[in-house]
Amino acid sequence: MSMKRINQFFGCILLTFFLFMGYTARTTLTYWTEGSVIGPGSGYFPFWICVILSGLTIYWLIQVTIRPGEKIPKDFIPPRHEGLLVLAIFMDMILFIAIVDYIGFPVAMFIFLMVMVVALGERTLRHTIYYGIFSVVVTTFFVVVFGRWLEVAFPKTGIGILKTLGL
Amino acid sequence: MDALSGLLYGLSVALRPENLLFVFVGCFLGTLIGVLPGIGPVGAISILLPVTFQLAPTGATIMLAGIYYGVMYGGSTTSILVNVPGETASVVTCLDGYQMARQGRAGPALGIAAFGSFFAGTAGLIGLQLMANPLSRIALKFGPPEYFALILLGFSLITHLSYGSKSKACVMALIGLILSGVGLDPITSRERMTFGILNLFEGIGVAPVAMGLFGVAEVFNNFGTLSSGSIEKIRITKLLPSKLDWLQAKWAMVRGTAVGFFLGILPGGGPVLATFVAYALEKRVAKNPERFGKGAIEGVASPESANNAAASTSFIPFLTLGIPPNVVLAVLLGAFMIHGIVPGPLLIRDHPEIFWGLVGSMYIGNVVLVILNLPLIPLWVQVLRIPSKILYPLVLLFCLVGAFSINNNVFDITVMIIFGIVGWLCRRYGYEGAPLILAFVLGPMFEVNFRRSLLMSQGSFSIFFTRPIALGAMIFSLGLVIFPIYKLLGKRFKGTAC
Amino acid sequence: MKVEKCRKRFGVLLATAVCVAVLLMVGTVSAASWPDKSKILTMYVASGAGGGSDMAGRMIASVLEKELGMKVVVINKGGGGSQIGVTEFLSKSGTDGYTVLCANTPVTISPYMDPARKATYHLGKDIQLAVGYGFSPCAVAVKKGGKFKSLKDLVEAAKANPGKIKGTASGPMVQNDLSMVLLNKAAGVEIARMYFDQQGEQRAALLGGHVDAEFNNDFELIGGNKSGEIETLAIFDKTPAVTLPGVKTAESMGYNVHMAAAYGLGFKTGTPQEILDVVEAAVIRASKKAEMVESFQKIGLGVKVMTGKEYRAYWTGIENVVGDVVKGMAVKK
Repeated sequence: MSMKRINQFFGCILLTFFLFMGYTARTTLTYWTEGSVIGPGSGYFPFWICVILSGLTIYWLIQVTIRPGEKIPKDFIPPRHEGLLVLAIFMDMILFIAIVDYIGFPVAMFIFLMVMVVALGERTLRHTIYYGIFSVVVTTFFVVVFGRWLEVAFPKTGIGILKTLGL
Repeated sequence: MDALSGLLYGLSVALRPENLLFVFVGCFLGTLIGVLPGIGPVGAISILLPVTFQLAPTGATIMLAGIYYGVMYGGSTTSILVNVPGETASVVTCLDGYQMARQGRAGPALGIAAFGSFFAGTAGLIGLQLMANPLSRIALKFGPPEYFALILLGFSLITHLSYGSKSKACVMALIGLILSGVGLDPITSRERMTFGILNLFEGIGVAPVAMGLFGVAEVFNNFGTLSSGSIEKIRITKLLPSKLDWLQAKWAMVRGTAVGFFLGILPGGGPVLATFVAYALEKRVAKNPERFGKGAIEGVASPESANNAAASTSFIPFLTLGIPPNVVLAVLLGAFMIHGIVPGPLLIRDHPEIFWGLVGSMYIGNVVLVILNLPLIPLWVQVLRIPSKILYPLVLLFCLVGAFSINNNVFDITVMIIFGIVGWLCRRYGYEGAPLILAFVLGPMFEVNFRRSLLMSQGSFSIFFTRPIALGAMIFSLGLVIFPIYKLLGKRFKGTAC
Repeated sequence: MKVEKCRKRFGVLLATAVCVAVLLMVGTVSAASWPDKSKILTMYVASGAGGGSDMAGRMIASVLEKELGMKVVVINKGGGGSQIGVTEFLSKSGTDGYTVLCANTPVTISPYMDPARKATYHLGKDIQLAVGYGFSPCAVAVKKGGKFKSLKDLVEAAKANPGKIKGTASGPMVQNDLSMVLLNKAAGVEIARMYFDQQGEQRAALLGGHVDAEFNNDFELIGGNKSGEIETLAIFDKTPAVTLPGVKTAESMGYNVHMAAAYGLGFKTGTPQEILDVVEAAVIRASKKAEMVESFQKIGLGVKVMTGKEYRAYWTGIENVVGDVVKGMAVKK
């Protein structure tokens, strides 16, 4: 597969998306209103932006198609280790969102940090313990500064035993 | 009371020990809030509002105002150090500030930001003191069509915010524009593009998007170098700006101040718009604009001056007409009302100690902020010495907590993470975040003022061309767009002729 | 080996037992002892920090703190014209009475009366109102020294130039917008409704002459009225308000328009009636003290206590008004 095909494929996906958005904006939203409120409705702007974006995508598609095809650049796909690391941290953040409402902000924060430093660092026991202490300190800092002083209402834990610890 | 004796009186009020303490507390809290991402001046002032019930009105207003302009100082710190904008008004500072830090010049960047803020804040105050009334009358001339034209002017500067391909910048801006339309339509309250997701009704927040596109994406981006083992050690060269830095930043500060000064007065415009315009202007007048985005000190000096000048001058319509030009001052208006003070034309007559005390305290506050911030610079720079394996988790955690604290909503964290990944991908393939953010910020204002204008004219587009200020701004922005294209075409034509 | 294994098992059992015991202890909440002063009362304000609703919420929070003797924490959850805040309140709140909603007519009503908003709740079904405490009538103001000297002038002008006279409101279907709709209906005119979500923008547009009239809550108009930049023409209430001295009611001028923001407290349906009664009694008690009245007066908010039943009845009345307006909107589209 050449760069040309990738570009064309990507362009088609974008075009379909913009056309779909434009179509929904035109059909489901009000384009222009008359009556006590005269002027463009809620669909006016989204529609025109989609039109412009579709136009640009078509222009780009034509350009890509006439231009001679290039080879895929070497670092087009992220190197394996980088991709894996980003994926791991991404999953860690998703995990955080998934659990925060159930186990409360402090514990979720601690787990988030631990998973992350393990993903990043050496995985010996000694390091893990160091990072554990570090995570506890950081978590406490955030809970005190944001939770207590700035009165940010962090989600509370729903688990009984953690509740008694006041987390 | 004329301006000078008024100022002396104001300074004497502000220098009373208890008021001095309030100035200090306000500035300190403001800096802190500014440094912490997410939670902004509105949240901080609302939390402190009940505390001020017990205080004397002068002290209370001085302290709350201190938080407001203190935030503008502190906001740049995390932008420069770790590419996480502390406030929306310091998004632009990321562009060059963070690059400066990467080159080991975090100290000069922070120093210029602090000094630029001081200079601009003070200049704004002088304007507030001398020309408050005429300036506020000018601000009133701006109705919806004028705002529309002004924002159009902002859009015409979009390509200046990118240092890569111009067409890619335009695409990013359009995507920002379409994203800004998500949520309940501001005029009719119909939902659009929300896909039935309740959390999208309010629209996508600017702060989570900015934190994702800049902060989180940057951390992801650095994993590449981290995982390949080639960690570049940042050598910290200097702690304070050099003579060359000063020379380069001098006029940038002045221009940034001028832009911020004017845009701050307009209700609904404010510091955020000012920073973008100031940066674009700076790049346009620069002799070698290719330096921008790679650590040009003007790119830090001008937006930082702009947001502080805007913060100072936004008090003009507030104090002279009782019009709060942004949400922060709307909360402050509430604080004034609680103490039975009505900002407006009679304020200076009925409560001179409040008006002049506030002005005096702001002069002092600007000095306090510089004194507070300069010694902190060496300390902040140490942040860059933290090993990446510790620093990156901390930065991400700051982003998580910051995004949550804006609305106490986990959904904002989700938005931030999505834009983190999007930002990372965009950077890999040469698309930049700044035009997207600009369009995203301007989008709702653009649309709403367009529709309000047509409402005023009952659907006739002539309204944009029959009002002098609007027409002027339209012609100017059209010129800005057409002139480079004309030049480009001219060059091409010549090229083929030869 | 065997002994060790046994010990381990015993340890696990013991740990489980402790866990269960703790869970049981935490799990039992009795409604009779409400309010438990060691607990925190969480108050949802369905709007962002700053602004009228938030102020009203924070004021009543400090009143409750004193009267009930427990800590009250305000959570701001703005967005979607209160829809996001109310939805989250209902999903997070239990029926133990430790989470309360700061309700506000008509802002809390509009989302669920409008089918296009697809709200997942309906007041009658999901929220029990405990008490109403604050009341702020809407009024209409114009630039002082301008073309309009009275409400009649404004209405006449609107009649002569249909669609050309413009009024401001802070957003669709909120109280000031509804007051404009009702005035339009009562006078048979079409004042164009323009929305400025920030209070400052509204006033700037009025003073700059870009719009003709500002429709707003009384507390937003006090300042400009005092300093003489704007002139309040009429108040949309049954009686004149103390906050705007000398301003007559629209009713007395022949336009039968009543609209106001009424603030109150509500709990999730299923909360024991005793708890609601305690809150109702606490607010009634506080409203008789000068302290509450004075602190409310400072922000220009009138204290007007309605019992749970009265507030409910008032609420139903506003629901009908909003419902009519929504129907009218649907036809126009």
